[in-house]
Amino acid sequence: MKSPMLKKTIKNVFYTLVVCSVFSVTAQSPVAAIQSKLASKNLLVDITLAGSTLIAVGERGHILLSSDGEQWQQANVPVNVLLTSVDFKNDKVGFATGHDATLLKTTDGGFNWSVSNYQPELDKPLLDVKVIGDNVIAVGAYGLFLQSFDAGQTWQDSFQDELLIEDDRLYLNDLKEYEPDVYQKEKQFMLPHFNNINVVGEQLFIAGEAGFLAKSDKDGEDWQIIETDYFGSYFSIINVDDSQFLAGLRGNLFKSEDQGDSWQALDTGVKATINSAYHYKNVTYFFANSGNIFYTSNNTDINDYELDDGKAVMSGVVFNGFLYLATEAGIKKIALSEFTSNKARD
Amino acid sequence: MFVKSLEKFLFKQRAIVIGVFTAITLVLGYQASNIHLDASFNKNIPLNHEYMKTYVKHSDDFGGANSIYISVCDKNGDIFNPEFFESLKSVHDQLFFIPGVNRTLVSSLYSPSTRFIEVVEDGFAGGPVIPADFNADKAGLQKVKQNIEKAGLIGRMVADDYSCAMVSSQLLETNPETGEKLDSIALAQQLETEVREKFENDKISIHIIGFAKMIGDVASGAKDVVLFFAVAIVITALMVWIFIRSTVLTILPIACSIMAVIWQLGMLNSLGFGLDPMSILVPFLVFAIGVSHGVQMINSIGKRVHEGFSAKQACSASFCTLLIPGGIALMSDTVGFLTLLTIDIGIIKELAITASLGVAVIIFTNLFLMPVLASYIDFDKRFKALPADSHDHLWEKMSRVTKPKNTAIILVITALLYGFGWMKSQEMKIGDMKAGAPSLHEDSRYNQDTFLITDRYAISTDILKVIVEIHDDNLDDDIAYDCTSHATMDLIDQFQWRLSNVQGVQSAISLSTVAKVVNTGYNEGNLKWRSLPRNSSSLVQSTARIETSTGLLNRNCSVMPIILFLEDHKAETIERVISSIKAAKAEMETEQVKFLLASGAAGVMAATNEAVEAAQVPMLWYVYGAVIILCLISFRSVKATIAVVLPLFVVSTLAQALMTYLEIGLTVSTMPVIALGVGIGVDYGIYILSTMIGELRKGNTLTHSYFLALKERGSAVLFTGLTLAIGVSTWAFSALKFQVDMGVLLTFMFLVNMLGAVIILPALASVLWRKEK
Repeated sequence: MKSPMLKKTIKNVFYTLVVCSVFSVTAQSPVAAIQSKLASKNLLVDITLAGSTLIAVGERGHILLSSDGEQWQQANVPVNVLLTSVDFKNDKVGFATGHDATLLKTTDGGFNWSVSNYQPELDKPLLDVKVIGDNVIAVGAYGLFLQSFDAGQTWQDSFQDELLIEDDRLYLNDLKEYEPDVYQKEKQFMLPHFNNINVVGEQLFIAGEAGFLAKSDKDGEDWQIIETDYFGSYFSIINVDDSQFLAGLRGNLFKSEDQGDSWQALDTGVKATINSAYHYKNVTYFFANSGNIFYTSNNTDINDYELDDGKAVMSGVVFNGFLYLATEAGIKKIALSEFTSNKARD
Repeated sequence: MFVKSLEKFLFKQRAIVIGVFTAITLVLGYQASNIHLDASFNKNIPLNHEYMKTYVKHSDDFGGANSIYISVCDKNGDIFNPEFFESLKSVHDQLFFIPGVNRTLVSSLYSPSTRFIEVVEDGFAGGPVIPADFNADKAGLQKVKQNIEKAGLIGRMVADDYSCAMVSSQLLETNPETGEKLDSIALAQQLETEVREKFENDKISIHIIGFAKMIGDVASGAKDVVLFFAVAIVITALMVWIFIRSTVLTILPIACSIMAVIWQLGMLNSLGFGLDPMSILVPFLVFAIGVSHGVQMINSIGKRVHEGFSAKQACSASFCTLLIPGGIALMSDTVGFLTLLTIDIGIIKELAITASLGVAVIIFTNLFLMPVLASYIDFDKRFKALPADSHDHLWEKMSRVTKPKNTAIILVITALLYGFGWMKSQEMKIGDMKAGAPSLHEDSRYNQDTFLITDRYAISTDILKVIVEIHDDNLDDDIAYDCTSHATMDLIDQFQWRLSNVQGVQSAISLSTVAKVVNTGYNEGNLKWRSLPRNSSSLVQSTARIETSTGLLNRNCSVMPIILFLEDHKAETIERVISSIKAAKAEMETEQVKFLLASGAAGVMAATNEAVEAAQVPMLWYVYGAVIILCLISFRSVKATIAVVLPLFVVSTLAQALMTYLEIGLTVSTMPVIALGVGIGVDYGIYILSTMIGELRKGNTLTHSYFLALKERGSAVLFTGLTLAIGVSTWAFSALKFQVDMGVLLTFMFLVNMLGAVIILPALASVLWRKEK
């Protein structure tokens, strides 16, 4: 950690539209995660399946794998930053995001990871990653947006200035013309945090900070803001059949039946922030803070399952008849039979 | 020569001698009556140990506050019922009104400062966890439960399983009502009567821990010592009477030994020392040693009276024969105890001074005064007519140990015992081997409360702090600096995480931990942000509001401890954690960021354990060195020295093996026992061998010399061993664990050393003086 703070070297990297570039690891090299028996008991943020292997990511570069849900093995990870999201193309190739704009890639089903992108000097975390075939999109703080069309061989980053609010865009355009240096600086923190990205066919949705919701009909080439009535942050957007759910701060949950153009509020009854959503066999789960899991099987009535320890639930995935959870206190599992519509706790 | 002139001096002016002793006793008795109980924490720690220098250096900022924790538990295991909240409120209010409690820091669910903060759309919102309009109905309790979770109080203020809630505070240095230094002992009593007795019932249990409470419990346990002292005096008196069958000769050694105790206590007070729970045992030792030497004296006097001498003749003759062996024995005790001064722990030094003073005093009270007093006794005819010694057949049997066959058997068994003892003694552990407060029994209320609290909450009383010092020439004293350096904060975080993974570490906290949580808060409570921001201004935002009272940083952030909560303070746990810290330090320390050991209760124990371990071998060298030199001087014979010292050495090794067996660790309180045991154990050998050598030099055979030695001193030696053993064995009933340990070990040392002197010593002698057979 003795190497001096790297000077900002990202001049000319961002242009208004898409700039192609293959990122290399910067001079400030990351510190590898250490093996830890506590990893499965500490903060885990996301969990998914790669084939029939459970894979969870969390703080300090922890990536845990399990083929039975009982024994967890820690992967070799070249970074020790907080990892925020993980997604797989198939049972071998997958991607994970994290702080310091970290993007990790595995080609062996999650046992070993390599750095695709690492930019601590940005001081921005990547917050979500989605893989659809060879198309990989990672989004993060202050509108960070990285995309690869070749399964992570090359990456592009882009700055969606059409997603700025009108005043900001005009201000930035002025700056770009007259004070390019200031423009580069200002631009960095102008966009809201992109918390979650969802892909529905050719449509992309981004849910983000302070009521931000955006949609692209053509794989991210054009973006438009969708106005919603809520001004708190959204952390998750998911499509279930023909409906879409948008979830965020303090138990706010909305449903759309028209591809996101209009939204109606659903009552969760508890003011716990929803961190992510997951759909499995007719049931949609919303994982929330204070140990709450909201779930619905008819897309309308919301039930609440509450974990005793009140720890935040970040993500979940179904495996072998259990819902496996990534929580503030590590891995947990709940039998699916617990989630029946009439079993809502009082 | 010297002895003769001293004898003349003492016995010519008997009245004056008695007068002088009476005067001294009166003065010192007055001093002794003013002696106070004194249990200072610093006495128990090796202040010059490297860790303790760090501890002392930072004790103002991170000394570890004197806290008191009261856990109120619902016996059905669920706090969410109206009765519980009623009780919790009562306990909170009661603690508030106990003098000496820092009222502003009384904290529980009911304190106004216990608030939750939640993220709302436009920032933060919050309120008291128990709202002003709290009603203990279902909805109200549900609301409180949610607030508890939002405020993150589980594990700290509420038990992990919701079965208990905590009321805690810190104690003031002085009692605000009297303006005097806070009396921990009285406060502990008040907590007992005004909190526990008042609010504990069939639904609620109360559990109290904290340094002041522990001191209180230890002090009340130490008071039982007075009772043990009385019991020991009665039993000893009875035994002396059976031994000598004369009431006056029974009173004499008892009275002179009590006089020695009075002198010792008086001198201690004059020197400015107090008694603490550990050195309170020394008067016992002094009394027991006094009686044992007194018995030698009355035994000798009695024998001469039976033989027909007048009281005065018998007394001056006994004085002459016993002054040298008795004086040498007591001097070797004194020197043996003084060697403990080399150990750099206040309490052991104090023990060295207390014990050596007491033993030195016995030379005057029991060797000088006692024969002078005894010379006034008008022995009745019945006593004079008693046979001189009726145990000849026993002594004859015992002297057979010097026969070649028996000698061989004894020495082989001794060698085997030694070999076995040596192996076991290698397994002896350093430090405390049991969980809980080491001074108290595992099943004491205090320790049971400790176990409950550490079990149900995420806190521990076994705290080890690694002090992180920032050395930066550019560091400005007045400006918070290094909590804004990502590199530093991240290094602390990595160090902490490494240690969190060490077996025995329950949890850990540092400024980095809190900064991450604050950063999460500034990012809408989204755990995807529970990370240290790289940007200095964001980092400032995350650390600026953390108070120095949290104990996580000092004023300018140049010192930031990493606090480790250990599962227990067993020696092996501490050792494992300390060596992990050293390994991590070796890898991660930089020029700017230093990781220093150690503070916190477990840090102190680590230093003490290391100091004890380091002192053990030198201490034994010094004790044996002193004993050997005294033996060489008094016997002027290498053979005699070997015959006395070798059995002692075997017995101390066996004592260490016994410690392994009984799971007694080598601690500040048990380490001196070996030195005390050797110092006192040597007396037996000196008494036996001094007569034996005299007879050998007269030309007697070895067996006959030993027989004569037994005839002269045997009954007194056997008796002494028993008296000493009984005196210290009463400690086994003490409420304080270390007194029990010391009692058991000393009893063993006294008894087995006595056996060594009458069995192994003659067997060795018969090998060493083969020619004289």
